[in-house]
Amino acid sequence: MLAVAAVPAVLVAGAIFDAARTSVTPGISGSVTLEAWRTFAGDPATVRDAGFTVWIAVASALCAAAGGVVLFSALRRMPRRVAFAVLLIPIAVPYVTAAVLTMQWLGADGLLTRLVQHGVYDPVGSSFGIGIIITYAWKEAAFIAAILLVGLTRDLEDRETISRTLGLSRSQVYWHVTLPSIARPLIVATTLVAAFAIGALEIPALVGGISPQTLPQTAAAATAGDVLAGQSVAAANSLLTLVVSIALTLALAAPLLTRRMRWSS
Amino acid sequence: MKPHRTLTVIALTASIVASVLLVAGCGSSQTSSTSTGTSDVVTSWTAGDAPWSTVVQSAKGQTVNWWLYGGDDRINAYIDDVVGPRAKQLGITINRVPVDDTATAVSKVVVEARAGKSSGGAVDLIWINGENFASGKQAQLWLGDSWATKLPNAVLHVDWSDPSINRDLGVAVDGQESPWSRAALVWAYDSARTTEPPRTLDALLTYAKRHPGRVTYPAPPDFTGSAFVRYVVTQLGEDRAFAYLKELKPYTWRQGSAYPKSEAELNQMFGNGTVDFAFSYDPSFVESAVRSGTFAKSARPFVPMSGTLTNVSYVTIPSNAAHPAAALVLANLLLDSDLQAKKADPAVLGVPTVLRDLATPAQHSQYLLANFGAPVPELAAAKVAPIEQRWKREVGS
Repeated sequence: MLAVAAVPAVLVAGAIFDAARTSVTPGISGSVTLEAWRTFAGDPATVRDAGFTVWIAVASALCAAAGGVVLFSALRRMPRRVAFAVLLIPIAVPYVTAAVLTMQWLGADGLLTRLVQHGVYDPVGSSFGIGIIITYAWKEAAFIAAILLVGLTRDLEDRETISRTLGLSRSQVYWHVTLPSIARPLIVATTLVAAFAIGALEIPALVGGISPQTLPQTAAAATAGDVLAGQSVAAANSLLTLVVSIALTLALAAPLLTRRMRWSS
Repeated sequence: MKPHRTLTVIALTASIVASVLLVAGCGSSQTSSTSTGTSDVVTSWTAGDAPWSTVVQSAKGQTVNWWLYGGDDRINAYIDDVVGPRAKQLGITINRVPVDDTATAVSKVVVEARAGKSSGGAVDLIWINGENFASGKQAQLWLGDSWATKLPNAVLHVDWSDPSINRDLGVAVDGQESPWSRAALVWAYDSARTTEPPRTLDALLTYAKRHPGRVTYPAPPDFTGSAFVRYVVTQLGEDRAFAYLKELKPYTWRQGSAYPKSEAELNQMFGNGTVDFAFSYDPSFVESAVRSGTFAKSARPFVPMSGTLTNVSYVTIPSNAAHPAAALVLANLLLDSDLQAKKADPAVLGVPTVLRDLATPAQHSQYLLANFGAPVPELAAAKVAPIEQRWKREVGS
């Protein structure tokens, strides 16, 4: 296991080292300065954008998780091939295409807006990131449902049957047998979605607003003007994004680390 | 070998390879020149020790990797179908590398410079101006020795005493970039919807108040949106300009809670009637959009009464270009009278020429302006980023 983990660990460590180096050496000369960090930390939008990024990641992941559980429940009785064929459709859609579809339907100029003419709330460009959350939710719900289906075993079905035989109602079986059984893979999949949403650029760039923005958006924007100074600011931004991502991942995966849900149990 | 050990060996080997690659990337190695002979020819020519013909001869058989904004199909077609064949006659092949932002090309050069790559770079020529040129000049990324002023066609046709040419957004060009194209911030209105477009900022504000939600502009740092904000600043001064933009905000599209992200998005909104005006730094954008069907045939261009922003764009050669001779020959070719005349032709691009002695072709299109009014010079490059950041803080949030 350690040997397999060594490869990505080396690559990630190298990327972190290079980002740190870039953040303190703007320009070509290689002279060290903390100017990029001062610019980044001194910008009042930095804390706001970091908070917005966490909000987007958590909200998107939770919405995707809810959608994933619904899809799992609806598809689990179907033949596996049929279920996975249905889930493959949104999974296979590229993120850029997913964002464009959201814009086409829900944008101010979108199809839904034109159908109802006026008064429809336009989530694209929303300062609460509603368009971003909607896009992640429908795109990733299928991914989460697929993870849950993969982990579905006959053991669960047997326990559900026994529980029903013992007199539990369908809802009681669902809440006390089914959900606890899929909790571990659900948490893992939800955490993956949150971690991805923190670092991704395409969806916020296309369906997000101009303020606040996610950290990846501000990192990309930093290099649009002064390329030299901007690269250092973007590198500082990326390191902050990494810290936020690790913290959020640990927070979401905390239940897995409790005694009741250890992998080894 | 047991599967477990095999996996371990593979993983360790991959780790070692990755580590070696990382160390190589982090180091400041001096790569060997891949075109020392060509660089010597260029150096000799710029020093005046060799004639231009040696550069042309040296460039034969080379491919120029020209990085430029690729979002305009008409420009792409002009380069591929008009410039390309002429370059072929000189033995040069153009590899047009489309980018969505010139900063991408500059970033590439910066990354190579950080890695110590002093020759054999991936970028031979960049279509550039403004902040991007200024950043690169500050970092000494561009080919020097005033090469642009020594090009044969530049000597014949370019007026280097013209401040709009010898200064790029306030930064002295110093012969490190060669002029290629002129641009003016042109607006569009639909004559079927708007009888008389607002030709002053006060008139624009009045129009927006009378027609709430019908006016907007792309959010900076989008190039076009930034140009609009800079135009307002040049007209009113910075503080009054931001007071104006804040007063305008509640009457803009979606009460200023959202802005189009790009000129393309604004054009689409104008084309489908969501807003009443569009604008672009491409003087021929109305013609292009009508041809493509994005705008109605009733669309018309206009400029404010006090004139509009104008600038010149250039091509520059990174100092680590792999094919500097071919890049020089291409830069010279771009100043050819015939090619500049074709570029100014409304049927091709309709973009004004940078040559002093080339007559502007008669405008035979209602979608092209013959006169852009008094040219309003751009702000200095160093002011652009702070203004964009101020807009984001005070207007965009």
